[in-house]
Amino acid sequence: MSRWGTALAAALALWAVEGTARGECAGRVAIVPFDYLASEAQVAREAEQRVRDAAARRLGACVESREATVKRLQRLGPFLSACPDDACRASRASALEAASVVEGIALGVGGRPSLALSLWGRDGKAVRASVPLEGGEKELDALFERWARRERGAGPWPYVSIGAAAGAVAVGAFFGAKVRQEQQAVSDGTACAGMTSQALSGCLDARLADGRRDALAANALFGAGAALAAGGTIWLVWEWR
Amino acid sequence: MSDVVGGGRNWIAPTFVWHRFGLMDLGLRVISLAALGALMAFAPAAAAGPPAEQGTSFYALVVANNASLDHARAPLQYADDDGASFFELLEPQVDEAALLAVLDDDTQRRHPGLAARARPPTRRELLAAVDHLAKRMEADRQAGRRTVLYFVYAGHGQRNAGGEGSITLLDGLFGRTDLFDQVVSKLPATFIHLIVDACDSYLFVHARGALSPGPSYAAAITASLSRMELERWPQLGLVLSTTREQESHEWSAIRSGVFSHQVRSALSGAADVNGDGRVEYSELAAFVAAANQGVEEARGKVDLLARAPALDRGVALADVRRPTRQGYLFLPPGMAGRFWVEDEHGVREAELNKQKERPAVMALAPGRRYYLRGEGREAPFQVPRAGAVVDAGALAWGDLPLAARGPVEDAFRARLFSVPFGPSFYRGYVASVGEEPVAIREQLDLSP
Repeated sequence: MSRWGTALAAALALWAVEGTARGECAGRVAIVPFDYLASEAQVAREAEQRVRDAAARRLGACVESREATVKRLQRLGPFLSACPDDACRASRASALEAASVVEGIALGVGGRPSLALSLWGRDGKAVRASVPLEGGEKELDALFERWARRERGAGPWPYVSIGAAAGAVAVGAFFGAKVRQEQQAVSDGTACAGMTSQALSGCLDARLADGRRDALAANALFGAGAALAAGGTIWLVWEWR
Repeated sequence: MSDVVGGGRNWIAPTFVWHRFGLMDLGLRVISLAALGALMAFAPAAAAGPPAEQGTSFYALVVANNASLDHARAPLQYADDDGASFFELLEPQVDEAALLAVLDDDTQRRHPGLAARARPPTRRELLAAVDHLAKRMEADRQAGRRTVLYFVYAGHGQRNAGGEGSITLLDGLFGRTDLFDQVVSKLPATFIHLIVDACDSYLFVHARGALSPGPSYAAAITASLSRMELERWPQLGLVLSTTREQESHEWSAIRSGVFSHQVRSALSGAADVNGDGRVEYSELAAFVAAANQGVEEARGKVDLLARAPALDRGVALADVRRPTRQGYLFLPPGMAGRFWVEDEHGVREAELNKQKERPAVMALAPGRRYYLRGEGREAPFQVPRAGAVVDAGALAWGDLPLAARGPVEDAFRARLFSVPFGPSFYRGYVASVGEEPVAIREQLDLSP
């Protein structure tokens, strides 16, 4: 197998390992018992269970049971006040010994039950989402999928893509400079200097062919670099959204 | 819920159709009612909305008048604004609403399209509206539906020649006797919520001379209520301004009467202290008391009398659980302090001083741009459609510049809504006035 083949196989193996790791627990998720507004306790409890199910689907075995979270909250007692800022939320995550914390309020306004969710990690930076309680599974799954990506980080591949783009542009620039040099030499008459007419013609044809090949390579590398840069940037934005 | 919307012109049309088609229409109507009854009997129980409200029709009649018939009293500036704002708050919540008001140029600019739907606040128009409502309510009653009316007045109040309290219409006074004889007794409503923002508005529903003068004005009114003829109207609930000074009524910064603004804020859902989605009379009264708690300047003090209908002291003045044509702003736990919502035309829609632990919700008309403002900051947002919930916790905040104003306005700005409203204030308030409190849950359900 060539060196390129080996590198490709290694990349695919890494990709597969990363995919497998998605189902594993990277940090505990504490789901605080849900509150409710213009709704009822039973609705809040059912909504919480649906969120637990969605979190378990997307975050694997990381989700702490309600019983365990309730025990922690009862131990914390006075600390169970609403958090107004990132620092408080970070401290709440730390107190709950959780990598991620989920809070929710079941809303029953306007005859359309919905769920106001807040998710945050150890840094306390919260993501807020509003999800309909009827048929909101897709939204919940998408939310936890995004959260999992955010917690996992973007991974090396977008950066590899952007790095490869920079390499391609650099090599393309090298070829471009080489072509420019050849062009200058032909224009100045310094190319194939001292040759007789027959040899001169052959030399110039060869230099012209070289120049065309180098120009094609430079353009191809610039194009590939631009495509890799755009792809890597989009990938990175998508991972972090 | 019907999509019929307010506007004076809509009031007349159904009455005309009824007379024109006579018996044939009566037959069709009976068949329709029978079909409706059958449908209701076999309808699945999963219909939207709280069970108690599913068989209820809601109506609103808003009367506002800047003019004064007493030469000694200057016309009001913002009664028409209050009428427009009450109409815009109630219209998406009810089956039919009407506005009797002449909106001035500025109010028409701030409430686009509303002038075309308003009728003049005259005795004739008022009685025509009541007559129309009576017919609709009677049809509802025959169909087995409950009916609820919001009757709102903003304007001058004064005594008529006979000495009884009156509200001021364009063409004359409309007295307490008129209220009971021409409105309350004519309407077969299950409940009537009477909201009056006028100087001496208590006289509009209470007999002359029944009150002892003195500083404990609201207390005197409350004590004397049992002796009043109000007992004859157990379906009537009252929310009255008991303030006597005209200056306290209006504040240019909000282009509204202070009392009306506070009542609207409460009705938007901000007064729901126990989070059950309903705003009861005691919650509204406590909310307004909290909003005025910090105002020490006598001229700025707003007093209120809120008395739930004797028929059901627990009846809700507002219920954000009901399907309506409104959207909602949700303020999550963690947000604390004084917040107010202004629309793109500068109309202050609702205001509250929120306790950190308590989530709150405010109902707003959809399809407009709003600004949620707090001390020194603001966050723009839009309520895209009816039923949409905007999470204030997810809004992007920026700096808010504030302009300086006069001494009374400074007192208002600094002191109104300066006290957080929540369960602790509510409990203290209802204990002090001897009201029956709503049930308040203490904490999260932490059962395993």
